[in-house]
Amino acid sequence: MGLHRFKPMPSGRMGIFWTLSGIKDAAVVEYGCMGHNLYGSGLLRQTGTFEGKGASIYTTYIDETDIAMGDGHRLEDTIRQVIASEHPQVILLQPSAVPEVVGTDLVAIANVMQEEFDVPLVPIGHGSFAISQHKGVQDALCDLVSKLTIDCEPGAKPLFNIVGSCPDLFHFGEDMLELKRMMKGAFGMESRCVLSSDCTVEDIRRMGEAQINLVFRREGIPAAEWLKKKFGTPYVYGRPYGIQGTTDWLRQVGEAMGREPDAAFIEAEESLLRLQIERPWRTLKNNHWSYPDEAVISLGGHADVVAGILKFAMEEIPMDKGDVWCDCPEHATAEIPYLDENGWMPIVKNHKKGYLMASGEQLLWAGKNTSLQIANPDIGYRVHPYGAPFVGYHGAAELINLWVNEYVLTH
Amino acid sequence: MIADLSHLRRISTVRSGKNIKFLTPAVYSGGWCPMRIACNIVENTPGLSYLMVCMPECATYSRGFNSLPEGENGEKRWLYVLDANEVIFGCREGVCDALRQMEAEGAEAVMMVATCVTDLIGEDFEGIISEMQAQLNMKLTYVTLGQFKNFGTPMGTSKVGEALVPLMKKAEKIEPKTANVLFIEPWKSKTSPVKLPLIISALEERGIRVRHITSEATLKDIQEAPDAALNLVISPYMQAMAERMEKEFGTPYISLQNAFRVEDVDAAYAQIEKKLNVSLAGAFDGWRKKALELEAEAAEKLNGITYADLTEVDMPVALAGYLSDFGMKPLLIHLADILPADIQYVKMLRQKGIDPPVTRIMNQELDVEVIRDTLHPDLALGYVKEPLPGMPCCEEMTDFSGITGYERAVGILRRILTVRETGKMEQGGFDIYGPAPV
Repeated sequence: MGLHRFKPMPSGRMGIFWTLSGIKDAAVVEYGCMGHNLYGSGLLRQTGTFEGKGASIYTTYIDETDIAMGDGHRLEDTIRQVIASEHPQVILLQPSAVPEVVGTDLVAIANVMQEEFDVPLVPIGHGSFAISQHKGVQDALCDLVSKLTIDCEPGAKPLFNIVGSCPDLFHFGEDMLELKRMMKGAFGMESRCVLSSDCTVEDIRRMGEAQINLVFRREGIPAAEWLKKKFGTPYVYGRPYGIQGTTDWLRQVGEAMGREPDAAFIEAEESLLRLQIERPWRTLKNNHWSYPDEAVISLGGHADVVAGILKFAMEEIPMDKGDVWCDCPEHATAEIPYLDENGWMPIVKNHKKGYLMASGEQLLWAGKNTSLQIANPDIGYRVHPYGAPFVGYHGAAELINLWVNEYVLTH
Repeated sequence: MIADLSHLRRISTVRSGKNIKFLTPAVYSGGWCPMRIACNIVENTPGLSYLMVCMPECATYSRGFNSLPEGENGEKRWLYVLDANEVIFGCREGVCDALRQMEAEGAEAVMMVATCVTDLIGEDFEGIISEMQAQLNMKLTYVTLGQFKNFGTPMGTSKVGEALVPLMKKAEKIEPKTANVLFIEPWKSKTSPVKLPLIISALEERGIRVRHITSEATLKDIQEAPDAALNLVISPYMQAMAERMEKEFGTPYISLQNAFRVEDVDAAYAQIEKKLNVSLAGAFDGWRKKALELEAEAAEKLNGITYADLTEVDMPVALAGYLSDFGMKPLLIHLADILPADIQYVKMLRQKGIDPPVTRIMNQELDVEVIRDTLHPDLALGYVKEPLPGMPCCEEMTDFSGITGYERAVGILRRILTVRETGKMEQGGFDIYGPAPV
């Protein structure tokens, strides 16, 4: 990875840890040094994943003797205590960097220890040094569904799963609530499992009861494929942005389930929204007509978020495409390339006209408007999850609100 | 919750942090990593840059909300993140290139911070410095802070302090009326001044120039520190820095943090008077008188009182030594790490027949309950998340971090006596800058 001025792309281990953290009634036990867990837990609290909401998070610590002797007693003792004090339904095990360097085989250790404990010990993912945060999230989602789900069938109650709502994405909580609101309004459906930012172990076990899986980011596709193979559940991959984009997404979801979304709901949402945004939208539209060099949108962040907001801005406002980039080389396309800090630094620093939406860290560093943040690293707490989303009808209003305020600020 | 604590070792048998056992095994939710301590200290030092050599975890968590890669004066806060190959084959070449780039972009002095994996693979930072220092104008130093052998704040701060010494310049002339006060703290508020003991202002009022090698020091202050006639150490974490300065520059030091008793403070101040040729007569009369009164009251009221040290108690072993003067008996001491200076207090305690078990509290809420229910101390000292029925607690003991002299004795004893008598903390906290509470 080499020299970095800014926070580098997080490791696979971090992606796994953040993905596991939201599962209530589970305990996450990291085998290794303690800093990752302390600071990782702190970061989760910043995102709104507060104590008592998700998994209980523990670590073992590891010292020189443990490393030299390959002594795993700390892990065993920790598991025993966590079971006694937390009564988790499952213990999710994860190695930190040091055990990975010395080649600790957590799967084998878990298999040996399992004989002693009634609670399932589930090693999740791997701590490889070559995988990215995004691959870690993907692996963790896949492991969770393949290792925890039980045989079940859809019941009379219409249910859906969200796959890929995880705290590493900026505004994950707000976006997830908007998705739930729309699924209730358009299809009268409730969520069975929000994997993994808002679920219990039991929710994961019974994911097969859902009629559809909504894959909220591309990292969730392998998990959704696994669920499709296991339970026959169809899935729709995508993040709904914009007014038309959201309506199209709802229709796509309906199509996958063989039913139409509630036309009255869509009509009511669209009508209200068009009234709400009428004046700001005209301001933005006129700006594009009169000063097209100002009506340019530049975006950096998760590839799915960037692609979704870009499509909304270009097709429904309209705006023109500026510099866009994603934060993971494995997600790069010709349309949305991956840029490391050497790539995005000059773009962000030299940005003069138009709308720049990127991570809080990037916007703060460049002295830009930080309310246009769409990606992490974050620069503050997000204690409550009731803010405006970016996805769905409410998200469309929020994005237009942000853009028109940026217009007002700069004109 | 009652627990079997027979796994804990008594303090007399502990020679290093490795022998300090956790009270209960599971760590919730983690522990401060010393790499963050190093970054905080360097970020608070204008002119000084760091290059942390680390994994992505360290790189991300080394920074809080303020993730700017440059300080106000262009100081670099850069990260060298190991890839999968470097974990196996080392990162020397990449680190050397990074240092060249830091110099090219204007860094004046750089502290390299090695973390767990670099420590584990044995990357040779001394070798890197010996190769690179000849090629660079900027000064280099390094500190190795793998958490598996540097538990947290005490060892981390101590090592960073010591690692600042190679940045210092040998003085052409020693200034007889100049002293340094050594007190670098990693968690200093960025918006409030460092609190220093009254001896510092007393010396300044008497014409002594006291250079603050504190969390407000600049690189220049640190570089020029060897011209002082005396180092005043006021934190155990700065002892290593003082010792290394004495070895490399011949700067004598007085460890004020070790003087708890009034008679010990008297002796320390007499030494200062002699070394700096200054009179402190009358400077602390009010505080000294109050300290003597409280020591007498403590001997009367605290004899036989049992207590447990929780987390966030400054110098717990030395404090145990002081409190044993009044007959107080420690049932358990939380000790994040044992520092060399602690050994003298261990001996002192043993001579009095006191040899408590030591532990690391790593699961705050559970462990505090275990201590209450298993040991039943009359008092606790340190951090509790919220008041625990049945165990009155002297909280906010870090008020006394970096505070020495008669005022510390007053603050500590008044707090203990108040909690003992009322079961509650005194109102208003601890203010050493007001008039002496006579």
